Amino acid sequence: MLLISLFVLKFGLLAQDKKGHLSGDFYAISQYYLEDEVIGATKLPGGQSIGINTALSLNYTWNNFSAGIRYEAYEPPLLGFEPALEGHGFGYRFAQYKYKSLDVTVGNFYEQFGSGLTMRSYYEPQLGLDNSIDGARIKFSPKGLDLTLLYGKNRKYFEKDDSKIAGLNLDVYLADYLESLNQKNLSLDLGFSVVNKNETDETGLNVPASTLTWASRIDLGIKGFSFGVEYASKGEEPHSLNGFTENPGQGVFISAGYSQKGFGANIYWKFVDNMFFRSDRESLSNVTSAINYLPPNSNVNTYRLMTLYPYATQGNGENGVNANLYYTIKKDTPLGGKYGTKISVDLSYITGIETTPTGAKTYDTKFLAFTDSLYYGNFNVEVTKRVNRQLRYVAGLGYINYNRDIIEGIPGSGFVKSLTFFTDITYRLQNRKFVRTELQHMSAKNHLGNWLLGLVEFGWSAKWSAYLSDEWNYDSGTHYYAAGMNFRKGATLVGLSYVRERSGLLCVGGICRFVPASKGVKVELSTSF
Amino acid sequence: MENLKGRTIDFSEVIKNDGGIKIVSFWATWCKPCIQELGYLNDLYDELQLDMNTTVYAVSIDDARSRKRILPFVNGKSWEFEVLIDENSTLKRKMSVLNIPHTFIIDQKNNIVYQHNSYVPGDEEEYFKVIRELN
Repeated sequence: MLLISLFVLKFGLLAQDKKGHLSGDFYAISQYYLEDEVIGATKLPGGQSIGINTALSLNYTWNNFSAGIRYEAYEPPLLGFEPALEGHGFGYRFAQYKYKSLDVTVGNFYEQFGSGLTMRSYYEPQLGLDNSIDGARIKFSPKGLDLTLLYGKNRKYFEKDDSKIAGLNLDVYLADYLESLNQKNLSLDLGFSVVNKNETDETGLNVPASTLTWASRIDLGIKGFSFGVEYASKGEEPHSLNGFTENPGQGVFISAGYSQKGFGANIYWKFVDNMFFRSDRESLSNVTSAINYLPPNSNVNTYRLMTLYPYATQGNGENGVNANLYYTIKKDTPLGGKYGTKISVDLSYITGIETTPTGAKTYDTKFLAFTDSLYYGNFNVEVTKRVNRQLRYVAGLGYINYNRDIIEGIPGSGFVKSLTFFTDITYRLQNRKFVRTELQHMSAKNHLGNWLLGLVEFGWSAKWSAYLSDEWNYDSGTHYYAAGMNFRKGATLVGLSYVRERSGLLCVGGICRFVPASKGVKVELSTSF
Repeated sequence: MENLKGRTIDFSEVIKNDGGIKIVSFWATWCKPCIQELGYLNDLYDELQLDMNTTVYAVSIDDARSRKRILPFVNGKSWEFEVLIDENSTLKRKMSVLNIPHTFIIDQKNNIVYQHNSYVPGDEEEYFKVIRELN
């Protein structure tokens, strides 16, 4: 359906288009690295001064048929990306045919079953992550159900992992069959997934070649309420990331939410035990060789100082809750003002799981039990208010309790407790001019101590803007600064900046890569056509 | 992709059945400029819908981490748009979207007439200009 969508979207009534249509996108990010002893900035691991990540994607659609390629080059990859990514080639190519409710793809494809506990293949260039499956996929979607069958191998850099992945997913939407549910405005969806991995044993450890993972789920919606449960179970799969344990794995996600206009609340409970599902049992990389996806049960903190302490999913065992509340104070009230005031509150609390060894490579787990071993705690409050046509601000605070031993894997480094205040103010002037400022302060015990951050961004036309920022660790007296300029036209962006950046974890979806400190000139280009 | 009830839907059907002008904006609950852009569009939504025959489709690319938050988030913000979920970024890739926010304007005959990547304050004035020419 999506294929047809695109066709329709891009080219109007496509039946009239006999030649089909080509679209695509291109990005390139390059940095010239300078050394800086104070912050420990170096050149690239190979000694080069310049790194570049770039990719060109092309999609061609003709009636029910479509095909695409992506050519990628990392020559060499930017600092913080896995050096093994170096090289260039076709990272992705596919052909797809769709007829009515049938959809067949050969080549590389991305897929997700349920919330990804049994399998998720996706592309995240910020991490250098692409575990697309190279093989074949059939989707069949008659009324009220979606069925997917797939077979293939995971991409790793410009190669593939050896293990063979076979999967089946079924989603059934009961409201399509039972009119009584529909009349009550009730939705009831059931899902089931099963994925098998077969990997030749080259370790000499006599580990099983096949691992089967399955999940079942139920989602219920009635009026403003929603409720969902997913349970997954994984067979024995000894690998490098779980210490070659012979235990099976399990995972449970439970979610409940309520919302109406002006108010929304949601709570999410996630328990996982030995759920890293891998396409290379000996790989130690957390950005390659993943078959499934374990979303972190924490907020996505985007204000820069709070990104110093992000949470990384602990797939070998974690138990956490995450609650969110969103509220709008009505407009035309004293606190709501002319446009309404938006408030959000987030809470995350994640601990380890309770296990008792029963043998050298086996253990018992106390199902769903929290422990005293805190991994991560986070509490945020944020207020967004548009005062008038010109002025809008965001203000808030965030408390984080971060277990460095666990999240960064540095034993003995202890907890970092931090409290951050931030403001983000936008002021519009005449003729497309604007000024945006950010001010952030973090007080932290242990690790790097206290920080102050200031940012000013100025736009003087629809196309041009520039910014200046300084992230100052005033305990050590170190300044990390950036100055840059952006040009934007339609779907094209060009950025040029000079940066002195601190080291840290860059995390997308709970998967993190360590980015060392760096200094230099950065050029970025992206466009879609 | 899915609607907010978790049902798989065909985006081409959604678009086809909407004879008016469409703004399709890719966003996520963690994307600050996206929220700023959609916040301004929401403040102007009466004008867009009633005077300019325009519907806003906000396509979320939130993954399993935050997708259950989308509905409370949208309601909590009192947004009035049509919100759709593109959980594994399938439509995003098909539409050659690299970064969000990425906004398309689609005319009454379903042709893309304008697209824009990123957001700075005032960009919505450009959208209004394009839409006025289509009306």
